[in-house]
This record gives sequence, C-alpha cells and structure tokens, in this order.
Amino acid sequence: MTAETVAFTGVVAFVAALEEFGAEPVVESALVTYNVTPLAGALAGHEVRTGVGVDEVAPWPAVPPHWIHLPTDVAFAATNAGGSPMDGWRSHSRDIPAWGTAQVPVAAWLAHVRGVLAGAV
Amino acid sequence: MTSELDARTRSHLIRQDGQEDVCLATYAPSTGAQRTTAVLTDIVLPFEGERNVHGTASFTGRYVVRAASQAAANGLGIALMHSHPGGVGWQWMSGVDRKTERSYARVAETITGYPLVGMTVAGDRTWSARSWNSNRGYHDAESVRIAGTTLRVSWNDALRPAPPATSAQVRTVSAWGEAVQADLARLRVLIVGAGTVGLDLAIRLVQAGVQDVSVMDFDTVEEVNLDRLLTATHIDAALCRSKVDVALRAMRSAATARTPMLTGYDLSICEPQGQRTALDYDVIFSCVDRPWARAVLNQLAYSDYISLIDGGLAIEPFPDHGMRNATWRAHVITPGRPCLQCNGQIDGAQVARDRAGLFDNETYIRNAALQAPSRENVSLLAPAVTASMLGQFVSLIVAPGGLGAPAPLRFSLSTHTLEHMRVGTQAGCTYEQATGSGDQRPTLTKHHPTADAARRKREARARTAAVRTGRLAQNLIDKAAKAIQRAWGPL
Repeated sequence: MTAETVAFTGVVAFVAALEEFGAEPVVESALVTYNVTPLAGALAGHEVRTGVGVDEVAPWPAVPPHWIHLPTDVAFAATNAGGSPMDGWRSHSRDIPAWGTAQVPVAAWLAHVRGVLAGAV
Repeated sequence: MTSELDARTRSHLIRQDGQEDVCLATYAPSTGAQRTTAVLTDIVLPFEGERNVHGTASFTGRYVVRAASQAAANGLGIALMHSHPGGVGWQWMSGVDRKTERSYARVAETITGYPLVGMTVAGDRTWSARSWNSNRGYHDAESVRIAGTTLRVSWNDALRPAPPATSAQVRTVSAWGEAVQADLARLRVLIVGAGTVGLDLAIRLVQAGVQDVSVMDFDTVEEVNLDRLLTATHIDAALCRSKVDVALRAMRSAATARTPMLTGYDLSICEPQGQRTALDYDVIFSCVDRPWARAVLNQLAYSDYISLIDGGLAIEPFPDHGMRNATWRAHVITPGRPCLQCNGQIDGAQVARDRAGLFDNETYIRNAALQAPSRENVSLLAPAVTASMLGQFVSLIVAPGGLGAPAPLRFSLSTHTLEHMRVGTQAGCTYEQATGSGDQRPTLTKHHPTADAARRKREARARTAAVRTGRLAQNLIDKAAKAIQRAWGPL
C-alpha cells in the first residue's frame, strides 16, 4: 500500500478551508492560528489572531473544536478559561450551536468565533 | 456498497439482452483489527469504445487506466466488476475471468497503490468478490454487504458457512425459514456498551442463534448497576468483575449455536483500537449514552457501511416526586436514513466537549455551572428499549413484508403513542458527506483517559487478597458448573 493519503479531513482540511477564506492560518505550538475580524463589540473591525488546538481539529469537519485560544489581552466579562500551549494566550470554553446544518463548515466556524469575539470587553 | 450503488451497478451489469457486461468502480480501504473491507464509493462507467459486449464482455486497457487514475487522485482503489446473468449464488471465476483480472491487477496496484478487487454479480443479485495481489494471486472475500434500509449480505459459503440450526432454534427458524436464519446466524454482531440494554440484547441475539456476537465495554460492575443488569450479582460487584466478563458468562449460558464465537473487548469505542475492532463487524448495536462514543459509531455507519442500531431511554421525573414521562427511541443508522446528528441524537458541540474530556472534569463542570448528566434508569422500562432495537434489527435483516428498517421511532409512555419521527438529512451533514470514506474518515478516536482510569481502578482492586480469593473461588464454581453441563450431554 503505497498510495498517498488524500486529506479531506483533519488539520490539513481545516487549514485549507481557512486559507480559502483568507484567514492566513499557521500551524504553531500545537495550535492552528488564524485571523478573524469581529463585526461587533469592543474589537469590532480589528483583526484578531485566534487559534484552535491541533488535536481538536483532527475530527474536522465531523466534529468542531471546543476551545477558542486567544491572547490574554482579549478579555470577556464572563468566561470559563483554560490553558493554552501558546505563550501569553489562554483558551475559552465555547459551544458552537447547530453544528452540521451549515453548507460550509468553516464558514459556520468563523461566524461562531466572530460571535464569541463580539463579546470581548 | 450502499443499496443505491448496488442498484445503479446492477442496472448497468444485468442487461435486458442477457449478455454479460463489465464496469469499474472505485473503493476506499477500511482496515479493521482482523478484516479488511473495500468500501465501494462509485462506479466508473465505460465511455464509447472502452468496452465491447459480445455475449461476454471485453474492455480496453485505456478504460482501466482512466478509472485507476481517477481513483488514485482521490486516494482510492479500483474494482473490476462483471456479470454472470445466468448465475445463481456466489460465483467462482472462469479461466477467462481469472486471466483478465490477473492481467490488470498490477496496473491497478501500480497506479492506485491498492489491490485490484474483482467482483461478479449473478442474475439472482448475489455478489461475489476477491482481492488481487499482483505477485501472490487472489484470495476470495468472505462476504459482500449491501447496506441500506435492508442489509443484504452475499456469503461465500466456503469461507463462512451457515451454522447448522440446532434443536433449540426450531421455533426461531419457523418464524422466517432456514435461508433467513442462515443469513442472520452468520452476521458478525458487536454490542458497544454492555450495560442494561446491551447485555439484554447480547443474550437475545445468542439465544436466536447468532453465532458471532461480541461485546465492548471498559466499565466494571458496581452495586448501583444491580437493579438493572441481568444476571449480575452482588458477588460480581464485590469481585470487581468487568461488565464484559459478566456479559460473556450470560451469553455462554444462553447461546443456542453449536459453536458460538463470543468475544469481549475491554475497550472504549473512542479508542483507536476500539474503532479498529468495530470495523470487523457487520452490524453494531449502540448501547452507549455519551455523545463522543455515539459519534464514533455514527461515523462508521456511513464511512464504512456498518449498519448501526442505536436506541435509548429518557426518563423525566418531576422535581419533587413522580414521573412526568418516559420516552424510548430506536433508529437504524445507515446510508438512506438520517444520521444521529441529523435526527437530533448527538450535537457536535457536545461531542467536542466529551472528546475534550470535559464531561469528566469536575473543575470544568463546576466553573461552567453545568448540571451533572441525568442518570435515571429503570429496569422495568429497559426491556422496551431492547425490544425497540431488536425490532429495528429484525426489520433491517429479515425485512418482514419486504419492507426494511423504518425511520426513527419514539414511544412516549405517558400518552402511549408511537411516533414515526419525520427527520431528514441536513444539507451540511458532515457524517453523510463522508459516506464511503473508509480509512479516510475524520479521526474521532484518540486516547480515552476515562477508559484507562476505569481499567486501572479495576486492576488495582483485583490485586487485593479479598478479590483474588473471591475470584478464584467463583472461577472454580463456574468450572464445576460447566463440567456438569458437559456431562448432561451435547446440544
């Protein structure tokens, strides 16, 4: 068995999908980091670097990531936060609603992250 | 293959004029712990001039190269399919068939990296298959599965003969006849979750004569299980018996097959080894309640065409006392029916939480102010879930009245109503879009710390003198009981 595996899923697929949306993804420190610009809230109009754990993207697109990793200067009024492998970052627990109903999973994911960032203070 | 692909392929291969025909198909490999399956993804029909029908059928090398190149671009292998319109049952190759397939085995292998799969469909819709190695020749497949709202299996009797019906199965066989029993008894059935419903199912299946039934669970019998877990005893709880051990003991006692093949796996379906093991089975019963485990099983129903029967019980108590309602559901998850996510049984966000270990992380649960998952369960209602799931299984395999498995069913106890749930596939369903992906399926499995912790805890308790002595005594009693059973006479 020498055929190359064609990656339609996992990190490779997630990164490819983010690239298509111009989010400039990079795999670094066990995270896939990329840019999102929230449309509302304190950070509206500002490009924010955010990320998800590589391990969490392994089942993409069947299962979405859970933790949203952000620099510590992005703060929320209320959050259930955890650690991050990226220095100066921490992760925030957020459920994405209605997964599997969108035609383009990465568009649904970016909309979710944009919505989360709209709550930044 | 799916029943949709089967119908499409046969409409090309089984001609009105009675002549043989040929076509190619693509497949994704699906690698289990012991079994490898070619999961057919699509047919590649010949262009004008690429094949010639003249009683038998011939085709050009250009056709094979085109199909193989198309397959390789998608990380797939190819299958060479032809028909024996006058054939009945599993087909063996003629000399010409063998020579033709052999001559293209190396081409297929070189271009795709995967073995050529040869397939023949007989006039009675029976498929046969073999896998080629360009150096070592071919080996025949054990079976060909057609998955849809019915599960139709073509069996290679030489490799997987029908178990002979025993005197204990007379009433069962009389319900649907010997041919159906021969199909049913040969299925490899896995029950994931050997709890209240899983154990009940396992006993029923081996009683009905299914020869190869396995259970998978990493949990240990505890006192709190004894109000529901059939055949489990206080001694089992005291001796920290695994649920798998208790299930196997009950299954051995209940089995009516002459040579039952019963296996227990002390694994989680969420672990890579658990999933690899599941890929060896034809039908899986999902008796787990956690979203991650159900997501893994949901995936296999589409990516690897392993029919899944899922069910569960929800009890709604009033806050103070009394019961508002209880509902139980059963669904066959298979191509042609909506997946567990589309019918609202799993939620991607909860699968992600569960996979991240957050349902077992007390600090996280406290900080998130989450409620502990409901644990209500009643022995008196569990058999209703078992019955619903077995009804779906019989519909899938036996197809009474020619109808297969229904859409999801839900019974509401308060109103005594059975609902046929009107759910369809969501446009963006990531599970059903991955139909036929085989080993290219998204990686949902990983190390499962909860399973590891449960096994370590059981092993630690098993090392204590009290448990060691108790297990020794119980094992001796079991051996004595078996000796008495043997002396009583054969089945």
